[in-house]
Parts: sequence; C-alpha cells; structure tokens
Amino acid sequence: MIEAIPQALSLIFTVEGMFVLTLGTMLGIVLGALPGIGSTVAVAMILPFTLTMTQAPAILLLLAIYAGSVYGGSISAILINTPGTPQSAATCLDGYPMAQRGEAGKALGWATIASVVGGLTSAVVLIFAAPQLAAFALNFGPIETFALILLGLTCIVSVSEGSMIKGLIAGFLGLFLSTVGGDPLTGEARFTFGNFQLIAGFNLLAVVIGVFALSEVLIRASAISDADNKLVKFSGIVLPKLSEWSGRVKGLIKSVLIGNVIGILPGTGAATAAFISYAEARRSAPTRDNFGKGEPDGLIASESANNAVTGGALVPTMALGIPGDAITAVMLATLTLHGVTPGVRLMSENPVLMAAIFSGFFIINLMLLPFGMIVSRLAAPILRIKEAYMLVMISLLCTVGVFFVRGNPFDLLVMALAGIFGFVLRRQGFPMAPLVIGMVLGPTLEISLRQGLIITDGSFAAFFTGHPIAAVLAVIALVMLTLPVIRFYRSKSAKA
Amino acid sequence: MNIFKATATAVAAVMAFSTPASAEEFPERPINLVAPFNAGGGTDLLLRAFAPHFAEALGGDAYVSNMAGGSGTVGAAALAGQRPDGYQMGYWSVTVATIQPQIKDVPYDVDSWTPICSVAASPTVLFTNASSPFQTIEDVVAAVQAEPGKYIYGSSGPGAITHLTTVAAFEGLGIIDDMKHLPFQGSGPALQAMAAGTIQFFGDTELLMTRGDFRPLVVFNAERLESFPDVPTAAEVGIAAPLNELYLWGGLFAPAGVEPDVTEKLSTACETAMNSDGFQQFAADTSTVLNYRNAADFDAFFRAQYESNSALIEAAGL
Amino acid sequence: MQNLVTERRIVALLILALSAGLVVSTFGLQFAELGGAFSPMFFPRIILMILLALAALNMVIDMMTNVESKELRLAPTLLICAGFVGYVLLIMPLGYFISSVMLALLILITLGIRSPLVLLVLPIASAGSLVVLFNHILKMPLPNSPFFWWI
Repeated sequence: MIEAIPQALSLIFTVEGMFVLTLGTMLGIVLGALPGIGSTVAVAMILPFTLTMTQAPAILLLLAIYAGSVYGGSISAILINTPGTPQSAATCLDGYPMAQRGEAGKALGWATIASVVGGLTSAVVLIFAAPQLAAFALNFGPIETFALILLGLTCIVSVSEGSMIKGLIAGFLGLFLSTVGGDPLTGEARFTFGNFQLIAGFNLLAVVIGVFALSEVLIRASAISDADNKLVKFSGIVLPKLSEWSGRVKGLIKSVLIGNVIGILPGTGAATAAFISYAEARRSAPTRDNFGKGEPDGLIASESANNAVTGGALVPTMALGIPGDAITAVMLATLTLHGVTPGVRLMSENPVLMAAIFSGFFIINLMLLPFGMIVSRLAAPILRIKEAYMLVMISLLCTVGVFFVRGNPFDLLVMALAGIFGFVLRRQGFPMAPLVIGMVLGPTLEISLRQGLIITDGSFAAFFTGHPIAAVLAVIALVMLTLPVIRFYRSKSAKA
Repeated sequence: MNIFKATATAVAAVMAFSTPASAEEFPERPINLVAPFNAGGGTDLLLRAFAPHFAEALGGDAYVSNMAGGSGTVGAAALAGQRPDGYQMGYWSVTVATIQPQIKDVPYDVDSWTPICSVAASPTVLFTNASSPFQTIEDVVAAVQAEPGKYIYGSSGPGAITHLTTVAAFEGLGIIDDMKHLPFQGSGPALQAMAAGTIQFFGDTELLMTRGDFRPLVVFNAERLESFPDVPTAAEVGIAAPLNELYLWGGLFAPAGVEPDVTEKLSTACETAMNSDGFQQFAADTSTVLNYRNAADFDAFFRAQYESNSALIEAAGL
Repeated sequence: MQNLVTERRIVALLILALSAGLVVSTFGLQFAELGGAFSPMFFPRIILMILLALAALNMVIDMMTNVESKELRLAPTLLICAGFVGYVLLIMPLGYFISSVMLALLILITLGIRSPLVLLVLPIASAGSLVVLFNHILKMPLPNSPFFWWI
C-alpha cells in the first residue's frame, strides 16, 4: 500500500484530481449543512456526474461529498438544532445549548477540530492497517454484534439523565418503530395493519428529520409572538485556543478510537459511533456534569467519532470488497462501472487506485478545516434573516431531502406525522435522541439476536460462554447501565 | 375543505383532456424509468447506463428515478396503478416481478404489466468458501446427512434470489430439512459471514461469486458455464425441474394496457439501445449477461417464470 | 393538585394506551407459530412489554408530580400541523412547486408576516429555485404537477 503512494499522489495532484477534491469537499459541506439533506441524498445528487468521469476522480468526488457532508451536518445541528442525519443527532445535545448561550462560533470550532482529527486519524489507520483490521472485523459474528449493539443501547440511559423514564420510553418507541414492516428473517409483514405502504417500514431519515427538524419548526411557531425574532448569534468559526485543550485530549483520543473500531464492524455506522462515544465521554469525562448543557467535551466526543467512521467504513470496503455502509456501497458499485471488480482482490489488483483513494481521503479531511470556516462564514448572514423565513426554508428543504432518500411519497407523510408526534413529546420533556438511537440500533439488534439464537439452537446462555468478545462487551454494557443509577443514589444520599 | 374539492376537480379535468398520444408522435415528453432500489445500486447503475442510449433510440428524453423499499415492491406497486401511456416504465428483476407478489400482499400481480423487453439474465451458482473441505456437491450431501442440523446456508434476505438459489439446491437434493437458514440484510453482510465461517453456503450470480475466494459447487443453468467447465449443472447432480434452472433476470415493464404501437416502439428502441456500443461497453465492464427478448417473447417468458417460481416459493416455506 | 387533567397527563395516558394496544395486537393469530427466534413477533413483543411497563411507570410519576404546561399559541400551532399533513398529501397530486408555495404562504401568514412583497416573492423563489435545481439541472425530478410537466 505505502509503496504505491507516490504513484497515487501523481493521480491526485492533477488539475482534475484537485478540482474534484476541492469542489466535492466544499459541496459536501454545503449539502450536509442544509437542514434535511444528508449524506445519502448528497451522494445521490452527485452520482450521475461521476458516471462520465474516469476511475480515480469519480471515486474521489464521491468520497469528498461523503466526508464533507458528514462534517457539514454538524453546522446545522449546532446553529439551528436540526441535524440532517442521525449521525449529527448527538452533536445537537451540546452544540445547540452552546449556540443558545451565544457561543455558536466556539461550538463550531470545537466540532471542526474534532472532525478533522477524527477523519485524519482514520485515514492514517486506513493506509497502514486496512487488511489487518478487516481480518479483525471477521471475528464479529452475529453474537458479538448483538453484544456491541447492547452496549450501544446503554447510551439511551446516558443521554436521558434527568428524565430517565421518558428517555427510556423514547428509546423503546424507537426500537419498536424499527420493527414495523417486513420481518427481516421471514419477510412477513408486521404492524402494517393492512396498509401496504408500511411494508417498507418507517424510514429512519424521515423519522429523524420529522422529530428533530419539523418539530423544531413547530416548537418555534408555538412560542414566538414576535415575527421579527432572530436566530442564534453567529459570525464565524472561533477555533479553540491550545490552552483550552488541556484535559480534553484524552477524551478526543478515546472517541477517535471508538469511531475507528465501530466504523470497521459490520452492521453499525456513524450514528452508532457518535452515540457510543458520547455515552462513554459522559461516563468518564471530568466535565460530565455539564453534558447536555453545552459542554465542548460532548461535542468533541460525537464529532470526532462520526468522522472517524468514514475512514473505518472504507476498511471492509477496500480490503474485502464488502461495503461498510450505504455510501461505501455506492462507491463499490461505481467502481464496477469503471471496470474494477470489488472483492477480496481489490487492493492487490489495484494498488495505485486504492492508494489514491486513501491519500485523497487524507487530503479531504485536511480541507475540512479551511472549507468549514468558509462555508460557515457564508452561512452567517442566512442566520440573520427573520425566523419565519428560516422556518419556511427548513420545511421545504426537509421535504426535498426526505423525498430523495427513497423517492417514496409515503415517507413524506411519515415525516409530517413524526414532526407533530415529536413536537407533542418534546413539550412534555421526552428527549428525542434516545428515539433515534432506538431506531438506528433496532434492526441490527433484532437481526443479530435472532441470528444468534438460530446458530445456538435457541440458547441465550450460549451467547456468552463460547464468545469471549461478546462476554466482555456485555459486561461493559452492564457497567454502563448500572453506573448512572449508582451515581444518582450516591448524589441523593450526599445531599440528604 | 373547498381547496381539496377544487383540486380534485382540476385534476380530473386535466386528466379528461389529455388524450393518449398516438404512436406517431410518441414520445412527446421525457420518459421516466423507475429503479425500485436506491441510487448507486446495481439496478440503478444499469438503468443509468441504459437511459441515454434508450432515449437516443426513441428520439426523445429519458431519466431515471429511484423509489426504494420493501425489496423493490414499493416502486413496483406505485407504477402498477399509473396510466399506461408508455411514459413510465420500471426495471423489475425476477424477484420483484415474480417472487414478491406471490409471498407478500402487494397491490400488483402477473396481470398488472405490459412487459416491454428483457435486458439481462444471469444463471445463479451455489458456492462455498475456497478453504472449505467440500470439493463437490456430493461431499456436501454426505456431510449434511452425517451431521444433520450442523450446516448453515445464508441469504441476503427472505425471498431474495440468493435465498431461492440455496433452497433450489438443498430442496432439490432432499437435504434442506437437515440444514439451517440464516438470512442477512443484503449480500455484503452475508459474504462477510461466509468469509468468517458463520455460514458455509451461499448462492448468487457468477459475477458476485468471483469477487471473493469462493468455490462453485452447482450452476443453475441449462448447460455448464464456459468459465467453469468442471462445475456440474443442477440437472446433472439430480436436481429435478423446475428447481434445476434459476436466473437472475430483469427487464422493462410498463403498467398493463399500453397501446400495441407504443409497446412495439419501446421494445424496438430497447433492442437498439442494448446493441449500442456504449451499453455493450457497460455490460463488458460490469460482467452483465445481456439477454434481449421482444415484448411478445418477454411476456410469455415472464408468465412461465411466474408459474414455475411458485414451486420454489413453496419449497422455501415463504 | 389544582388541575387533574393536564397536557402532560393526557400525553402519558395516550402513550400508555398506545403501548397496551400494541402489546395486545402481537397476540393476534396472524402468524404461523414457528416458535422462539423464528417468530416475527418474538422481538417486538419483548420491546413492547418493556415499553408498556415504562409507560405505566411514567403515568404514575406524572400523576404524582404537577408540571406547569409550557407556553402554547394554539391557533398557529394547529394551523401549521394541519398544513404539514395537507402539504405532504397534496405533493403527489399537485406537484412539489404548487403545494410548497401554498405551505410557505401558510407558515408566513400564520407567523404574522404581512408584507405583500415577501408573501409574493419568498414562496415562489424558494420553491422555484429547488424545482429548477432538481428537475432541470440535476434531472432528479421532484413530483410534478398535472398541469405542466416542467414544474
């Protein structure tokens, strides 16, 4: 891999190569920053243009759009509390409170640095260890995956401190919503009550955009009495000073590791990584009591992890020819169109192309910093327009975004109802992040549990006896689950 | 509610005035090709490569739109109710057109379509890991009978072509009850599980199999494949009809009731587009096996497939 | 305990009723009982039972505590809620452009915008620019109207 890098760089440092990297990253950030438009739709928009390009630029453009849009999602999450994608949902938790305090620029600064560090480290890991990591990922069968997802679910507890029961209800509602539609193992329709449209299930993005973005529109409309209301104050990114990093570096490293590992594993993704990393930071960071109130450590945890996943997801994609998520699947399909066969021999047969992809990915992550600053500077005047205008634009954009996720008009109805439902629940103090966690993790949780039971002939105990990785993960999950409870009672008795 | 009433009236009025265009003038506006899966998937890319050549052959414009969900049934269901004016067509695979309507309660069936042309058809192959001890299908039968309940075959989901291939093989060999089925969400996770040893058998097209380190055991084709002359056909190893041939095919369908002239025009354009250099190049690059049938032949083939696949559905317990 | 019926308690009750109804629905005889992990209801039933227990607990907590309702301007909220539902139902029959202009007007008027210039320009400009971008530049068509295929 490393030997091929000089030749690969000569592929990248051409007029066309630099053009697609620059344009792709910029466009990716802009599209990601638009409320309602996430990575999936951004890639679908760009895909037709890549069909006429040659191999390396086509893949680099898709990659730039992908990494750019994952980062761009944090901009709308922080500034207007509307994540365009599930992976930015955790970013809202601390990003938006900071923005409300008038520290929007600072919040974006933390998020940007964390994203860049997360992305760059994952690029380095990819260049040096992709085959070894892909081999490691093979140790994760259904049973290990089940234990990992169980660990992920404990995040519900940590993001809903203060309103534990309501958080858990939202989480289990999310898990339930993910079971509606065709059963993944038998194909039978569940909870469709005779409605054919429901057989495809509730689309995750339609629900996420409904409960976050549309319900935000309703919340603002239900409270403002002054049509001239302005949004948060923001005039550009303020990068954190070096001294402000003291005490935060350890958390950053941990989050990057979590993002990398989870990105490599099958059946998970950026949203899972962001939430697990956030929950871990909330458990261990010295500033944990400020989480959810605008704590930079929370932002760092989610943003560094979700950007590290973009590199991690490329590991199985490139080393095994097996896509790590929906976006890398598109990249592989695009490769076949250019006469490259994805598969186990992808790296050995196309070392230069692969090295170009990896190095291009590194450069894209470097570009996130300057381009992120430019895009958010350009976004600043938009935030100064009247709130009513902004609400119109959010509503129209969300509709476009949800429509293009699957092209299914039924998803629009789901979005609208989820918006109203989310609004009613949010007014009563139900947090929405657990609902998203439940919906993200639900399908994998169910499939891995039932696959595991098929393998062990129905014995749940056998999950942990023959599977050390699963046993360790389950123990960690148990600790994560009980710790907040113990802490809660200790703080109670300390007060008494 | 006046606005609703007004809208309905307006829509009805427009519908009434727009008479179907005669075949002479067809097409007058862009043609919509529906991919029932997400942008960037195999079906989507095939249609995107096909669309410009098809548009050129018709002397009009054509674009691809995606409508995904429910294993392709959401897109097909949406098209089934549309006006049969030839401006809307979908690319359905064997599963969307013949399997799903027989296992799910979907609002379309064998009579909902005007088949236009078939585009691709690849035989499927049953395979195992290259490092596995099974050299031939006889080894597999012996091993499964020696240890019933031990071996697992995977699929990319219930009712998918991958599922039907394994069912056709093991039902045809009479050992399906001694094996376990593990469905995954898509071929990617299933192949990863195969590499990890969680599952031992998987079935898909030749193209997919060559991507990994796998060993073919049986091909579901009338004759042996050129690329694997030593691998027996299903009929040779004793798998009886109709389970012995299984193809992943796909083609263009319009809603039922398209004017014969328009169907003829579309079907001819489809042939011209498939023979274009650009599309032939695409097929070569992606190892897509092209297989053109005109509207009448495709209609007969589609109906025969619909019948014979019901035996497979029965065997799969779907 | 001045007011027994509060918004919070109604929501708690609705969630409780919803989860109870769903748990009951999993016991319908609609599936071939394959047993254990093979049953399509195996996983949802576990989830729904836990949900039901949580909803009951939540009901108890909300009955014991009394929380003031947040400020709610009822009329605009209901109008915009109805607007959203009507909008998504009209997108297919009327096309994206026409229905979006209608929704935009509704939101602006409900939120007290009265300037005729804004009401004329903003909806058409924002919906129109999206239609031009997607339908004509990117060739990724949003639903079009029955009147003109280009919007």
